[in-house]
Amino acid sequence: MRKPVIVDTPYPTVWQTAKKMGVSRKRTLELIKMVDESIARREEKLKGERAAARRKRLKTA
Amino acid sequence: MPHAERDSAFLNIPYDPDYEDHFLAYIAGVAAYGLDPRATLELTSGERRLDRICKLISACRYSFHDLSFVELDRTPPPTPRFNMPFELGLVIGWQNAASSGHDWFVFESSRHRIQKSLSDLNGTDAFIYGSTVDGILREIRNALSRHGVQPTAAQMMNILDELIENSAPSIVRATGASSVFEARPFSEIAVAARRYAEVWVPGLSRNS
Repeated sequence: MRKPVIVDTPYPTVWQTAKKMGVSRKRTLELIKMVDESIARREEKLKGERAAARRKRLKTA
Repeated sequence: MPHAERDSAFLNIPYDPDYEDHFLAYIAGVAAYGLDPRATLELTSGERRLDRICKLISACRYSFHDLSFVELDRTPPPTPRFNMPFELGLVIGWQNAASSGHDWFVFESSRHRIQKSLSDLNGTDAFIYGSTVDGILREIRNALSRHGVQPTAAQMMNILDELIENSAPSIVRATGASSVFEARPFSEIAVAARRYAEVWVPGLSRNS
């Protein structure tokens, strides 16, 4: 089995990636907003699922 | 030849509708390791295509070559797809000739396929991912490592889930593209993947 190659470069920021990929500043802001909203929705959903599981555990206890 | 960008990874993969989720898995996987995906999708006009491909490859420190779609296509006349092995050959030739320090990784769906289709690579460890997106993420973790921050399977899967379920469809709609296999959606998906990685891979920052 080949040994993993070590990536030692610093992580690019989202702005550096956008510049490299030719995505405009305005569109990058829209994309960041879209991603952040979708992360917030996902975390909200997970929170709800955790709360439901907790309620279920309390009920059966 | 341009100087290789140390945080760029060239994706040599099939642009096939059946392969969309696999494509997104490579983007999510390399983004989790702090690499920006590059692909020939970005090449739109100008000089000869082959010259532009060579320039793009040499601008990347890493490359991933998925040979699992080297097969006869469905539209007549049935022709094998040679682009992926051809681009792998370009990379190996360039690496050997220029001592470029470029690292390349061959990905295949099953072990026996590569032994049959490209026996010149016998003795080279291919990353066998079993045709699944989880398999692609797993093999990227086997191929790469980082000091300090090491993305987990769950973090990589979260990024991929979000790309598949939300970002990629929204971006394709917003750009008026017909699929992710076009220059603009590809660039924007790379930016979205970078943002997910920034948020979800703890410790990920410019100086990590």
